[in-house]
Amino acid sequence: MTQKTIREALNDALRQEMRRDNNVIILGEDVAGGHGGTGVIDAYGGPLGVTKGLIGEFGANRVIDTPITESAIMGAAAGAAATGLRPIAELMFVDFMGVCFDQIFNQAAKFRYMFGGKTRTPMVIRTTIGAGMRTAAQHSQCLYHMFTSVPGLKCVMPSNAYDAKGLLIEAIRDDDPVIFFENKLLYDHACDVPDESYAIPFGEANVVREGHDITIVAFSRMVHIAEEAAKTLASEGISVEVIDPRTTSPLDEETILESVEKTGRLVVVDESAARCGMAADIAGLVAEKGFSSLKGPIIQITPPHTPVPFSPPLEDAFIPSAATVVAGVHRLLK
Amino acid sequence: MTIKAITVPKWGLSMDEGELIEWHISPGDEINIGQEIAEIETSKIAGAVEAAVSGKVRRLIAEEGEMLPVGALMAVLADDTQNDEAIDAFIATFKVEDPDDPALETAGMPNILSAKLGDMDISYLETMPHEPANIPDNGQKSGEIPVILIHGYGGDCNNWLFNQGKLGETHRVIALDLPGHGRSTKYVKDGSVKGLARVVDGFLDRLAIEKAHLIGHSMGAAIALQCALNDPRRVTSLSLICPALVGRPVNSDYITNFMQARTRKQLKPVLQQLFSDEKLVTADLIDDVLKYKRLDGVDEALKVIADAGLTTEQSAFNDNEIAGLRMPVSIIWGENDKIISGTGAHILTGKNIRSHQVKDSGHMPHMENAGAVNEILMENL
Repeated sequence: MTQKTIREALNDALRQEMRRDNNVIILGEDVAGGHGGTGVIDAYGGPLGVTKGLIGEFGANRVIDTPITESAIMGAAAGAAATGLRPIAELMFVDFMGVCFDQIFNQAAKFRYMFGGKTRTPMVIRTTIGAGMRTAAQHSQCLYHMFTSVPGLKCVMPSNAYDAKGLLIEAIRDDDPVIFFENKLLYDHACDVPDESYAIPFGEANVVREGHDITIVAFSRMVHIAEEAAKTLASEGISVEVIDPRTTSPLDEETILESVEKTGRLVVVDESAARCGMAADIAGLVAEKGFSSLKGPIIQITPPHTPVPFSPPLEDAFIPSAATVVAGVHRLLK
Repeated sequence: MTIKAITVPKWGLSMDEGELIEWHISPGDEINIGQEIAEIETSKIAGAVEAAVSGKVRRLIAEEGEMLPVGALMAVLADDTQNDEAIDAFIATFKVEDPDDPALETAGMPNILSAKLGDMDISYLETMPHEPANIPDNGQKSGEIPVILIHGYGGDCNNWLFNQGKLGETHRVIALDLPGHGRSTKYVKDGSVKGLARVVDGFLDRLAIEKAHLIGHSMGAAIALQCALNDPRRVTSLSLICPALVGRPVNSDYITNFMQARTRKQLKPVLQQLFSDEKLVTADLIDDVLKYKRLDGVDEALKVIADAGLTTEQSAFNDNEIAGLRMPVSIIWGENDKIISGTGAHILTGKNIRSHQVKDSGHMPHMENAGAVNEILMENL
């Protein structure tokens, strides 16, 4: 099978869905690059190159460079979705979502409910998350937990290229607004990805690694951190099960609870937030529904409750690492 | 006698390492080619290692529980004329061949190829025999007739991972992916056994194969049988592993549940029905099947085939026609088959027909007890 990076897998998904369905359009800042100018069209292909080449095949009516107005991108996408298109809106950094909360939280997420099920909102918002790019506090956050808490939004965060393609295709075919979070440090991560189209259903966790002593639930890039930690722990004779929920809304509670029932110990590795983040959410779930199988406290490995530092050593210390996960497991087993 | 190495085999395209579960031999034992000497587990499946060389076991290098790369030295064979120093020197200088080395690709290493049949692409895995002398020039000479492997419902060419290598030692072997399966086009026009047999016939035409040994599993066995009835002169021998539609009913719950399974949890018990030993269904095996089922068009393809009579008919063949087949026919049943079971198949008698029952296996004897099945298959070629 062909090895593809997450960047290539996402481009594959967009291209195949745009070929399959003429209603699928893309809009966002520099998704082509060069619109309205005198230079090269498709100069940019998206800030991280994911949409490269699409304007050449599908034209400027379906790959739309927008002005730098996040609220207008989201509002236009929500309206287009309500009238029958399947827009994929790109917002370079999740950090900028603040200025379009009304369009996302209060409009797109609520249309189906407020109109008594008489309308659908098949829109996808692609955005980037994560620290480690030396881009300071305003371009490094991992805010998927905020969107997860809003009913009406589906939240997806792939950790590998196979999942990235299948989940994005599922997102585009879904009739509700889906927020698709891409970790900036994972774009070049590659694995076997079929050339054919396929969709991965939401709400089905991936058991990345089977084990029987500890359950680690991790999201997006943290899945790789957890796997690295699991390898170290395996050399110490500790068998770790790593679960990647893939989507936080809907959430595959069953796979998590069944795993904890088997292992009796839970560690959650989450880059989102130290307070009110996904780690707290999963800890709450297991504390309530899996309490009787727990043999020790639930360990939450998150960044500290601070903005992402600009200082490189501090930024590195901010992001959960395999070493902090291993230390957390040791704490739990003591 | 020279010093000989026993190395970790490569099963299927994706295997790069395996864990030694158990040795079945000890230093001092005399072993024969084909003897099962160890159990190795990969992330996909566990299987028996068969000795590719014979001789006296002098040293077991690999330890039980050890994870070994493909090609790693497992054991050393030599007679008593070789002293311990010579054995030590052999071990010290042994080099693991890089399985990705392009120089090795031509001999024995499978190639993924594709044949165009109208609007359909039929993908296949082809191996050429190790001995250059055995490579057929026209595919027609005795002993140089290719072997065609036809998988069952929901399967693919990788189901033959324990068989293709063995058969490939002496023959050109082609494991195809039926329409709707593996890497082939997912669109199935006619899902009946007759329709799929026409595809196989067209595939053989396309590859200019005039005569072939056909080996089929389950639905693939029914397809192979249909091909033999369509054109008996083309089929030199016929081996049918757990054949569908020849008298024993297909477990229709299995087909329905296989079609409907969406998650790992739903799929696991379904796949476990295939094997006598349920432990063979690993997380990776389930993942591979899920990845296949998620592909666009697979749901429809599986439905078209299932609806075309796979579960409704008990037998799709005419007794007299089968009894009249002239080529050697070998039928292999798994002892604990939960998919196609019962004592039917009364029609499968005839002068050239031999039946075998394979122990310790369910519906996948060619995976579960590959050694025994390979022997039967080789005999029939």
